[in-house]
Amino acid sequence: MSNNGISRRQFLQWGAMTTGVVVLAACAPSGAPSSAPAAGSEGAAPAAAPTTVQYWFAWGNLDPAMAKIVETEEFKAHMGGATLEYKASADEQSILTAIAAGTPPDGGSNYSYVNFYTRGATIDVKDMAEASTVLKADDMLEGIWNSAFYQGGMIGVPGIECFNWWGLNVNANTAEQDGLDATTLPKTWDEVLEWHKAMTKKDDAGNLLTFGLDPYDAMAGEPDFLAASYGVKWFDEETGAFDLANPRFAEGMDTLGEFIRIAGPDQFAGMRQVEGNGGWGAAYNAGIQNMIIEGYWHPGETQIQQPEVAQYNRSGWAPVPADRKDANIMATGLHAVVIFKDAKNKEGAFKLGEFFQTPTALNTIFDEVGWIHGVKSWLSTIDKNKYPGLAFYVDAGPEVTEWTIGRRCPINSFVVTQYTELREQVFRDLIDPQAAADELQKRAEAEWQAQGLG
Amino acid sequence: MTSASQTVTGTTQVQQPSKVRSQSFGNTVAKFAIYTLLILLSITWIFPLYWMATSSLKDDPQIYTVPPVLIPNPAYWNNFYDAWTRFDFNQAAFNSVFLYSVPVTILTLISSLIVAYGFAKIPFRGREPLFWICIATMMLPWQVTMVPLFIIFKNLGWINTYWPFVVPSMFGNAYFIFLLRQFFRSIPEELSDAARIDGAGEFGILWRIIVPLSKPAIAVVLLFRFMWSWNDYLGPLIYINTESMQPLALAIYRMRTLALSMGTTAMAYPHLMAVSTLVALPIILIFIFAQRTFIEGISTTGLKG
Amino acid sequence: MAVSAPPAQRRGMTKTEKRNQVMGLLFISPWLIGFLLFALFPLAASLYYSMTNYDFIREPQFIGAANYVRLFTTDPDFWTVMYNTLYYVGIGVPLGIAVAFLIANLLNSEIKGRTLFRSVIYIPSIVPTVCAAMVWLFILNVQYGAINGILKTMGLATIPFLSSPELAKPSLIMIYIWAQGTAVVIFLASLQDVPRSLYDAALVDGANAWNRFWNVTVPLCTPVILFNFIMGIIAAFQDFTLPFVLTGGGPMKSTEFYVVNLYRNAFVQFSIGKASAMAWILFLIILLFSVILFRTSARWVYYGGEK
Repeated sequence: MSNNGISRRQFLQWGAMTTGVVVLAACAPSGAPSSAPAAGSEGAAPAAAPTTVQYWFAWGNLDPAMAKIVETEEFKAHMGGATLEYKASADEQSILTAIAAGTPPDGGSNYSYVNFYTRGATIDVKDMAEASTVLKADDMLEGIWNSAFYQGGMIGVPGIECFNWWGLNVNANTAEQDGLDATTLPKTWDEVLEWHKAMTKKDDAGNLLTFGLDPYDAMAGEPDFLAASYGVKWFDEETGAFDLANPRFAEGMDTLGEFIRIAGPDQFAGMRQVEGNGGWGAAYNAGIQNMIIEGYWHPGETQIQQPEVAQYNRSGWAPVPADRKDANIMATGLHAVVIFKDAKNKEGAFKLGEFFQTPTALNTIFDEVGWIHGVKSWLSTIDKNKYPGLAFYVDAGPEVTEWTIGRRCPINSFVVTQYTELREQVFRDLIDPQAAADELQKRAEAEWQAQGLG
Repeated sequence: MTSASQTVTGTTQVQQPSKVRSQSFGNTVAKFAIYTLLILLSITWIFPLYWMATSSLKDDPQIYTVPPVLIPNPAYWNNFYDAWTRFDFNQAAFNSVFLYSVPVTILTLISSLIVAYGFAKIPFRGREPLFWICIATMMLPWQVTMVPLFIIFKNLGWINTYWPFVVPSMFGNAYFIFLLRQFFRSIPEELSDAARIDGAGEFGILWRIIVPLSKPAIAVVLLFRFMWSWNDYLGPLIYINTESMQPLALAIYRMRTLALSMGTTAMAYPHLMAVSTLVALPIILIFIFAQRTFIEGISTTGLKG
Repeated sequence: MAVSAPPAQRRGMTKTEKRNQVMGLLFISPWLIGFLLFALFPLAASLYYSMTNYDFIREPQFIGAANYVRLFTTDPDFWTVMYNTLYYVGIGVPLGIAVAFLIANLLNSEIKGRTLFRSVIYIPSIVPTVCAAMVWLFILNVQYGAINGILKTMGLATIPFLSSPELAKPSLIMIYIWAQGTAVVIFLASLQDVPRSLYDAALVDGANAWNRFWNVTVPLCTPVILFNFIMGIIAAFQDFTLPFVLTGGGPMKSTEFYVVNLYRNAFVQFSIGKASAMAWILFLIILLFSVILFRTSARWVYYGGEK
């Protein structure tokens, strides 16, 4: 770590303070801002214990649940009278800016956890978790509990929505109309491809009317999925080594690309653009797409959005290549309340994380948003047949042969961007699959070095 | 009718006598072609707006149906009310008008007028290079200066306030300085000289001679600056932390994030279109009513190079 | 740019010159102070970041010109986004100006309802870009879009406007042109300033409509064309919201424009050092284009007699 004389913080503080002083002197008439709390002197922590908890959430859909949670007596009692300042839709741009300025909120959720943690923006909560009476490791599904750890440290308090990520969901009604037997769902890529062919229909002008599966859709979109399906560990978090040039990874890009070649690359890209602006599964709800690889939320969301499709939803194992047909792959990943290094009320943020383990919070979030958190004692109380297909996810745990913990690479978003481009070159036949895999490996390694992570 | 069309009518009359028969036939054909072209263009141009307005009256199935629904039936007029009450849009409208757009617009206008006058009307050493630096500040993407700026405002204690927008507007805006400067330069120097002989100072000349002559350019600054702050969501996204402080554009942006995660949020797209329509409406109305002054103002912006 | 130079000479300052020097600086002082307060430090900071490895979280490490070298040599995206952006700016801006100019000429002919037509053409540029992008998505989309829906019902093949790598950039250029209302209005206003006497004189000389357009209208509008060109280039190089919301850079990075990629580097991949280097490269490119335009403008821009 070479420091060239002047540290970033000194540099920024110096520049900003100079500017600040001059601004205040220059626009003395607008003295009103000085009535704001003296936040100018950073680090001058208030003497009294803070009575607010600032909590930022990256997405917009937790809002209805949060509105109800803060009104409950249980929440007020648990938080000891502290009020919650909740900011929703606070994307990574806003939180990064706040972190850079040294004024992050106390807690946050649905950010790129590993990225923040490995760079030291959020703290290790292991000690707090061990001291907690609310957070119980043995009452949480093992994979979820493990997903909260990274190289021995604990990233955050798992909660809000941590459950099983991968299942093949099929519209049984259209499957049967297409002459397929929906009592047994396809398990290998060969079988799924046959179903895909049977379900893909075009009109006389060659326009896509319906199709089977987009293998890069929804939860299958990230390299985690392709790698797991073909038994590749694309990133080793202990050594920082990449294995993206693995021939099986290339084989996977070729096989999955076949689905798209059959239906037409442009048609697929169009479908995904709309869904990028309207949530996953819009084409599934519309009956245009008949298979989708999705997480546990799919049955419930489909039920809420399109009950007439949801009633035919069947869920099973995510596809694997024929030579791995006995592998039951499943992923889970972290959603957690993370606590920022510069937080003023770390205890308060942790307490919020604790509250997400309680039945009050779990029930409210399940009812209002449809999300599940893998707390065993609570899972046994919910109706797993509430939505067609949900039972598969609830019961899957013990039968899983290969667990994946998703999004563990600190440069995951970089790899996803490059992977998205290169796999598209593969299914548009612009590059040899192995060459694409080699290129992906090369780019990932270069970025890893350039980011100073090597 | 605008002054512009009056001019045109005037010249038409002048040209009448010189017309011969074949020309008038040619004119009719040309006119027909022009109208056809204009009507086609207008339809193309207005269609997306029509689509926005009608989408706000649809329900989800009508959005995703093929063939597309051109006239929503049934029309869900309730969408406007439902969308508006989805967030505290009344509060957001208040914030947008009184905390953000109005103060920022007025302050930008005053400061830009003063600076533009300096650049346009007073010869002094270093004026040209300084002016070029001013123009060049428009050329650096905001994404990179955002973080250092945020740190400045944080140190001033201005997070979750509108000061980060209001205070900088007291120091002029490069685009408007450019625009006003161009306009001022087209005002004959003799007018200022006459006032100087009468003993007027530079400020006096600015307020009593230049400003009254610059109403159209001022209208442009007012409309553009109002529109920009009205539509700005990127700034408030960074600086505004509480829902009670958020402006309309940020509320719309949050509606869009809701639409992204459609899980429990049925009607996200129609509601988004409904609030978009409602929020765009005031600006459209301002334009329609201020059009005449505005067009005059804009006319002189680039003219005198 | 014409300099209305002070009449007096440079040696020693006359009383008037001194007064002007003070008054001039006084008048521009709001901008000057604002620049020193709110622009200089951020600019210096970003220049410093561009020579560091920095992620907003850890201390920046000084690495000299490495970010620049890497962008020009090994970066997987830089030349792709540079090509995309030059394509978009190089075709979009001139085409936008041509279309806007032609529409303005149509509007300037002797027609009824000009106010209405003018409003219709202008209003799209007022609609918030986020909303406009969402609307266009549901117009151009291959599966749910209005246009393709109509094509489908007519039994024709759909057009993947935004989802084929070949069509995505032209489609975005189309939307860019749709939002050129400001340029149309600026042109229209300047057309109305062209003296009628010049057209009448041309008529007397027997010039046909094309000649009148090419030899009278166009030359007289060149200052405005220059203005629109420069503003257009500054804005188009930095276009962000439309591609970001509409295509997210896809398909196959075909709409990954410069600032979209810069944003991705800064706020998705946490490489603010590299993003800052990109910003400074872009700044120099825009500056270069503006200077070239100004330098060559003497050859093609016609300034009226008075200065």
